[in-house]
Amino acid sequence: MSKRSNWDDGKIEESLKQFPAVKDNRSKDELFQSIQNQLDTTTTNKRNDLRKKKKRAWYYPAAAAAAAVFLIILVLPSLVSNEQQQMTTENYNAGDMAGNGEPAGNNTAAVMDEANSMEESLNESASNNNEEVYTAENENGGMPANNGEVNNYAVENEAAETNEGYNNNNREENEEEELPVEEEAEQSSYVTVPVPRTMEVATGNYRSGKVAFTGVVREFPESAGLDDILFYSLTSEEFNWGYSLQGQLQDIDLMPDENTAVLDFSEDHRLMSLASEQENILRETLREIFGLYGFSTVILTVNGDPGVDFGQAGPIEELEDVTPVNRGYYLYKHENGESLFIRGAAAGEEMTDDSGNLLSFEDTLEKMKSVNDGAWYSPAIPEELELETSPGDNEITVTIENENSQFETAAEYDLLFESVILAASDFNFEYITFEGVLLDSTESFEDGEKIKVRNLPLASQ
Amino acid sequence: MREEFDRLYDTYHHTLFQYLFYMVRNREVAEELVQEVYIKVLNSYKSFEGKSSEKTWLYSVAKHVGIDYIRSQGRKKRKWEGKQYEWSEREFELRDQAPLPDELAVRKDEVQEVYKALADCTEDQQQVILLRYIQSLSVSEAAEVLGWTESKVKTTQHRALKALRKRLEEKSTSKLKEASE
Repeated sequence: MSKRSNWDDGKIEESLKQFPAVKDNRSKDELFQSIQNQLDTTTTNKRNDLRKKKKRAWYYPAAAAAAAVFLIILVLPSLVSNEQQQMTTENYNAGDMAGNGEPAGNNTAAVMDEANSMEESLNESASNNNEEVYTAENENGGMPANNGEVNNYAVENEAAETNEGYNNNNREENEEEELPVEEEAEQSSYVTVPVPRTMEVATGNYRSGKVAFTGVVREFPESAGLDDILFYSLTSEEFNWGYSLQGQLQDIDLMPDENTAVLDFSEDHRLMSLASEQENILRETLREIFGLYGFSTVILTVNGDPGVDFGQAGPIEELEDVTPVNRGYYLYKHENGESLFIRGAAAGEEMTDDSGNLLSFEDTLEKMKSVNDGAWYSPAIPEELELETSPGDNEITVTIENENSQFETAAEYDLLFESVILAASDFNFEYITFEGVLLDSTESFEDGEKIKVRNLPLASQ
Repeated sequence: MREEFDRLYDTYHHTLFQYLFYMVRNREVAEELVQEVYIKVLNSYKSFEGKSSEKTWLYSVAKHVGIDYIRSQGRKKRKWEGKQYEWSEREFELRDQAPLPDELAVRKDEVQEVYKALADCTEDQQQVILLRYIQSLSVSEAAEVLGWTESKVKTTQHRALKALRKRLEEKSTSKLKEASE
């Protein structure tokens, strides 16, 4: 991966806009005169061409006939020679198989065994790597991504091997495009990778797949951008989210100015054979992950050409209903005991007031106390809790007025605080401060502490 | 015909000329080509159905004229040298040798660097850059001119910027190396 230089998209775009206006030095009359002359000459030339064509009417058919005869002469000997060669090859293969006394299938099996053993060794190294990184995760307590950008936590690069998990899954083109300019050890960072979590929930009379995100901390080269991290999230074998895009997704391009993400798939992608359940999960995952990071348009391409055969939906160029706008988070208790946060947008909860305006932060917190009838998720804030908000320039203070909650464990309190922090991420607040009585019940947050707002929902056990 | 010409000239001439100039990077050639555009347009004006806007139709004609010229130059060069080139390779060789136009020579170094680096982009990437940034066409207008979907315009634009950045970074690095040697 290359180092960042002083050339960024903004500077290039600015330079392009400064290209000077280049004007034609000729006057309008001069130009018209030239055009008039050229038109006259063209007309005369056309007439001459017609005459020539008439004169040479016999020439082209005769030449074509001669060429055809010549081609037949050339092609015939090569056809004979190919046929002979093919027969010889077939005889050779038959003889070879007979000589070995075993079918060719055994050779294939040997190659497979070798591949399997390589795969095993790779898995082993990846799992070793994971152990190290999980330690880092615990030490860092889950580092958040913020408002579409990646928070990088720089640490010294201990060894190139620690990036193995990332590098193994990185794009092929990186080898070509992003070779390091200088051969010095690049610093690495710990970043939170959003991991899709899929669950099947009862919605009305039927069950359907839903997606939430958790975050795991992984080590990346410092120059890794959000596109690299999302690519890793969607293709890494380490995350089992119901479908794998490994070997199919070859690039993610992000255009933050246009809120657009472009997902480029390889020609041999298998999306056309998605089962309806897989199609639903993949669609939801892509909608959620890009919506979460503020993208409203997700374009699908194959080798740069728009359009991907997407399961039963057939060819689609753009994913519909990607919603970067969100208000509120709700809780879902996974069967494995995890509590996952669901975006209000994904849950289909109300995000606007009676006049159609997006909910204010205070109204959002109020909304998070209740859910739609028959919902498969639950409120993130207890009904009886009274919250007061006082917004500052880029920060907000949330005061918790009373303690009539039914919470019993510190983890339940943490979920409450976490949900408020996440809700604040949709409002451009950089910091949030909690005050009030409940702060005694948690060790994760202190009264009056400035907490950085993050927009990646993390799992809580 | 004169009336039609006057109207088109007053409305579009300078932008069309500029588009062709940046496409072929040569004033004299751009002068010839813009004439050819007028001839094609005036000859087929009656058949213009108005399915697209007049502006994008003119740009579309200019694009074809410019690209035909570039490709014909490529074929000539291949004949002279007796070599087989990929279209893109040869085009940029030709352009690299062209001197910097006067208007650009007085601009900041960065602008000149970007102008030179643009020559290393593919034909599609150059078209999108010219239409979007230099001619200030919207995504939908550029899509109409190029006969692409808006998605393709956006994708190509992004890739073009990426390619430009890569080229500019390479040039900066090689300059630094030369300076240190």
